[in-house]
Amino acid sequence: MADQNLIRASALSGEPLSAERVRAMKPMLEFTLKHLEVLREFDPDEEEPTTIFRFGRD
Amino acid sequence: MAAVDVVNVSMIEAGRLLRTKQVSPVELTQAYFSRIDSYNPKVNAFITVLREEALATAREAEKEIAAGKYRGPLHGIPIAVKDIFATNGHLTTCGSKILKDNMTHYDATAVARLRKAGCILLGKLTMSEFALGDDVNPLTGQRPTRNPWNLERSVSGSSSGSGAAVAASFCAAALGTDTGGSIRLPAGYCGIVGMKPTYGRVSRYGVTPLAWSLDNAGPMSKFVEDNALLLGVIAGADAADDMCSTRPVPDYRAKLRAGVKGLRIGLPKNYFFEYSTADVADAVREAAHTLEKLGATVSEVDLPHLKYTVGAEMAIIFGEPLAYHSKYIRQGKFDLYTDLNKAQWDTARYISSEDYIQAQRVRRYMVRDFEKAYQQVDVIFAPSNGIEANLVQEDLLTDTVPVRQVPAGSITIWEILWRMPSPANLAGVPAFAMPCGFSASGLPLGMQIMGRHFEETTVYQVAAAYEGATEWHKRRPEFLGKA
Repeated sequence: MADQNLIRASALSGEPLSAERVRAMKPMLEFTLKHLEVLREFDPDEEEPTTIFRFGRD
Repeated sequence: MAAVDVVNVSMIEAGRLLRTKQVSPVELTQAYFSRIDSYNPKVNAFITVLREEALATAREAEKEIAAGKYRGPLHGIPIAVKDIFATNGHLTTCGSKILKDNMTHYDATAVARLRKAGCILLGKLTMSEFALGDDVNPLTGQRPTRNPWNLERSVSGSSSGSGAAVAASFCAAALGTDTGGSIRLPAGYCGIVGMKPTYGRVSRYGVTPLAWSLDNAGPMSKFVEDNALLLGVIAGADAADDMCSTRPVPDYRAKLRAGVKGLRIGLPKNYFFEYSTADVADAVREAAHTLEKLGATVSEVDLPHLKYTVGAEMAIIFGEPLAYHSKYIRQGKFDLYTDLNKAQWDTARYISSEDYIQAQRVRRYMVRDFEKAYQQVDVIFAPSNGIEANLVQEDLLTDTVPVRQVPAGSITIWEILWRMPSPANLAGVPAFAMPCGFSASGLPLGMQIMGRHFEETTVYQVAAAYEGATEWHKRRPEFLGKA
């Protein structure tokens, strides 16, 4: 996660981050990405049409 | 009864004293203001104190009760609310400089219902900025809210002022919100009780959103019965909140004295205990065994999809707020956010739409895990926080995140504090935090009791049995001086 790569990637969201902002958020980003990696292993073995959280019939 | 005692009795008992005119609403309100005046400068739990309005309401309640117009057990009871709840004619800052001048002109539904029941609003409480950032009073700059058990310790968040104010006896009870533990974490750190109800049980109208698909409002108090009483008042249908359930509201106090004979308690095999310090894990298991001696059964349950919890919580609790806060960012207000929220909003830019959708999908599987477990047990016990209250400086954003040694290894406190409460948010089940012991350093240890969707009554039943069998709820933080 080189800072320059993160700055370039942030431009895609419409606002390129400064080097200072990248430095400040890096611990949070690393923590988040570590757990998103686990989430990305989620591979349900059935087709699940529902993508919106719901439970019961309420 | 001397006014000095009334701030520590249960709300139910205070209500009885008010109804029988042994204490007046004005005396009770003044007793709480005396506590606030003496100790809030140290604890920093209030953003706004509504002294004149509260005393005027108390005088009105006194007249009504004297005239026989008694509204019920909350009539004349002083409470306070997290500054995320809109209140008519007051600032609602959400703990942020961005809203430091935000005057609201209506009451959130939960606040309106408490007022109608006769509650007296003492003030608006501190919180993590927009329920996710740093804990700073935006009007004074004072930071952070301090734990009444030890002023060097954190209250956690985001309902920090609510946890501290109840523990410090600044109010009889408080309202908080919980999107990823924000009621249960402060309750656990402060040795009080707090209910994150079933998703949709309590209206969020007038509550500034953090993450729409996870947000809940709920009560925080010293005692289980007080909490059940409050939930019964604030729960129920509200056309102003599309996600608010239309199911009838049961009497949450109905089974408080029913005991636990025949009830089944589950202890998760995986996920929670190996990420908690030994003192917490032992205390939670011991709590289950305490109730086993009273006739409950205890068995292990499996919740396999919880391994995705922290990633799913991050994808949603960072992603949804960015959509809400982008308006302020576009207005050039980014620099007004606290450091933690700046980092979180910037981190959210790297969460993909795929991550967000997968997070919402995995929630269905977590719901199924809980539903399957609840075929085997009636409630599930787990740590609420996993650790004793951390030091206040450990809440500050730095390059190195503090860690704790737990059976799973050397784990950051961020991971532990997201890991424990978030499953109940993602699955939408009710979860009730309560004290289950004290650490070697004299700090409260917390557990959570999770139940089936809309079965808060059973959760309160189990909690009341445990409260009745133990003494933890009777301890008070004497660091501030005896009330």
